[in-house]
Amino acid sequence: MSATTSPISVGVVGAGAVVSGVHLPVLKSMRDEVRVDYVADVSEGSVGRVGAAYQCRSVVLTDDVQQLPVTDVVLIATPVGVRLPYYELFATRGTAVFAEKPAVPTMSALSHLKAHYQPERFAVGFQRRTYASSFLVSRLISNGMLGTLRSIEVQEGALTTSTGGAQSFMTDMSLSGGGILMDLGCHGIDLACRLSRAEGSSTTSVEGVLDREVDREIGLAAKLDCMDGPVALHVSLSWLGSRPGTARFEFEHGSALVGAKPGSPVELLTVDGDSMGVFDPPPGPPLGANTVHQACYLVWRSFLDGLSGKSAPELTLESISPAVRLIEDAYADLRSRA
Amino acid sequence: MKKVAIVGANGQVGTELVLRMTEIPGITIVPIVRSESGSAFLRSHNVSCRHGTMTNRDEARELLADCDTILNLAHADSYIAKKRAVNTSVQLAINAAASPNSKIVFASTQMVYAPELPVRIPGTYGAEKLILEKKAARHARRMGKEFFVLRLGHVLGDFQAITRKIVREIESGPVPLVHGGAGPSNTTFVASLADALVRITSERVEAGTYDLLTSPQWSWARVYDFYADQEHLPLTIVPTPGPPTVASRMRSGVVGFATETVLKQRVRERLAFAMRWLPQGANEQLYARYQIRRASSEIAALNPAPVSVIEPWRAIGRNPIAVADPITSLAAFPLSEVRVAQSLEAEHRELP
Repeated sequence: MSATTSPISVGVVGAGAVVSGVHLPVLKSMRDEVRVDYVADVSEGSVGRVGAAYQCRSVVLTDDVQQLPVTDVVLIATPVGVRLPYYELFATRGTAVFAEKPAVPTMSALSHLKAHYQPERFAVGFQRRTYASSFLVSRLISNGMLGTLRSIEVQEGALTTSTGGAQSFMTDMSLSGGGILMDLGCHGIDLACRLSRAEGSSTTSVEGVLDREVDREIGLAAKLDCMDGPVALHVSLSWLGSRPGTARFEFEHGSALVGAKPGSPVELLTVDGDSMGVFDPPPGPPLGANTVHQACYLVWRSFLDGLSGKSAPELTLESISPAVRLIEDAYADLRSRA
Repeated sequence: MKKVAIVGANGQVGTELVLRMTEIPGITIVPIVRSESGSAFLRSHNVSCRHGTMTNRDEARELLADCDTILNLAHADSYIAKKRAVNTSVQLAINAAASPNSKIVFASTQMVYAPELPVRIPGTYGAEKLILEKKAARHARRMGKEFFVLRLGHVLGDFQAITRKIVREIESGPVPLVHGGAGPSNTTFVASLADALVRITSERVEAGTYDLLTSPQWSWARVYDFYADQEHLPLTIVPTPGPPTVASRMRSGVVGFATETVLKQRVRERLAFAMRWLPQGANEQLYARYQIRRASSEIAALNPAPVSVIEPWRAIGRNPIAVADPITSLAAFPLSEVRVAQSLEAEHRELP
């Protein structure tokens, strides 16, 4: 890390839609403290366009990962299946890493990374943790307004999906590491683990529809081990049917229903499911993110503050381990029966 | 057996259309999707799909060569010129790859008529479809192929977002509709699109541009009534007044009318649309700049700056009367201490 107050240099590996539409606009907005040195991708066309649009150097990725320029920090946003050489390279160089979700597919990969990176030097970009609605639910859990948290139900998915292009990495398990559970489910599972402050997790049952190896529909039941007792987790994900796109937190005396998008209100419901209205945030500045760019900024803010020692790191590898364990166990169960 | 290809079969309309056409005698439906991710839903319903990219002309020929009718439902929506250009290249590739006796159908929209705007110049989506209609028709004519344009209204159907919205509105109670829903709905059904395709494929329908709307045209009240009936839900329509007419707005003030008209014509959207004709690099740089500005303002909103209650005025006053400076005046004319104390103490007292 630079010892002076000059901007932190950032390299970006991967030039897909999330990088060009979310990370780069946010990083360029933080120009007093961050300087984007390069963008790298396997596609010469994509990286050339993104580099030119955001006026930073473009690098075409080859098998020789050493060619990547040295920077203080690197954002890795490639498919999870090809990340290992980059993780190893940056660990050797002492470069801090911000990894787009899902950072790792297995607990062994997680342990491997933990052995090579200090907690504050590796962040995982689970942006839903920063949503204003997540802070509100967290308050509901901690202030006991509706009693003790009993269970969490996550339902996400859509009837049809965009193809993501003919060469979409989602059809290649060696790149994606999984289907809907890995790509979409990891968000809701991580948030459930985070908000319930789960210290451990175990899968109770899993069902799914596999399309060759790719999971297109998943029903997962699990137990989260939390300080106030176990919390049941039910996850229903589908790319073959519609799901409401919500997380429902069931307490002793009612429940809270929240949408998966930033800016979603938190609706309070009675035990019978009748609406009690919206749980309003307190007056003043927003509690957290209400847009995608705000969420991206807040995860970068947290990462950079953790790096500089201004605050404790929050997006650590350790913090994602209950979610990684659940996802790995679910896949093992599903594939053993396929 | 006639083969009907649906390009972009994994979209909202395409999915329902394919499922409605799988068991039509004499017709084999051929859904075409770019990847297995996209075709998963159709394949889960035992519909086999072809996979490939239309922008690759060899691949397009392989996918379409044996098809008698080809419907293009694919559409990419973006301010990035390169992504929008895909719409043209897909349609031209279909024209080129279609066999000489096949019929090519381009799915366009009623938005080409700008039905929602006071001045009939189509918005971004309508303008793009209109341009592509003309370009693709000329291209097909040059190649001696039969070319059809179907301008679809709002598409209703079991998988369509607008249908779900209508049902939700009926479920949640009285439905406010302009003039009680008496006006034309400009809707069509996915089933009607299937009907049109079968007719184009099996009958002698002259090539050309057609509107695909409910026939006879349904009012909005009829549409809501249909879904209330289908879902066995009670329907109460609350009539609301329509928007003011052009004449009444003219009467209310020419400037106001012009401003409103310009705003309704979505000037910013049109300017963004015009960006597509800039050189690709400039287009993408402008879009990146817009994204950065947007991110900056959203980030700033997380820590809103305190707002001053004082409005900044320029110095005004032309003929000042000669008085002492305020400090001198305040010292010269103090408030009586006794009176101030009295006014603070006594809540109820008789005024002199």
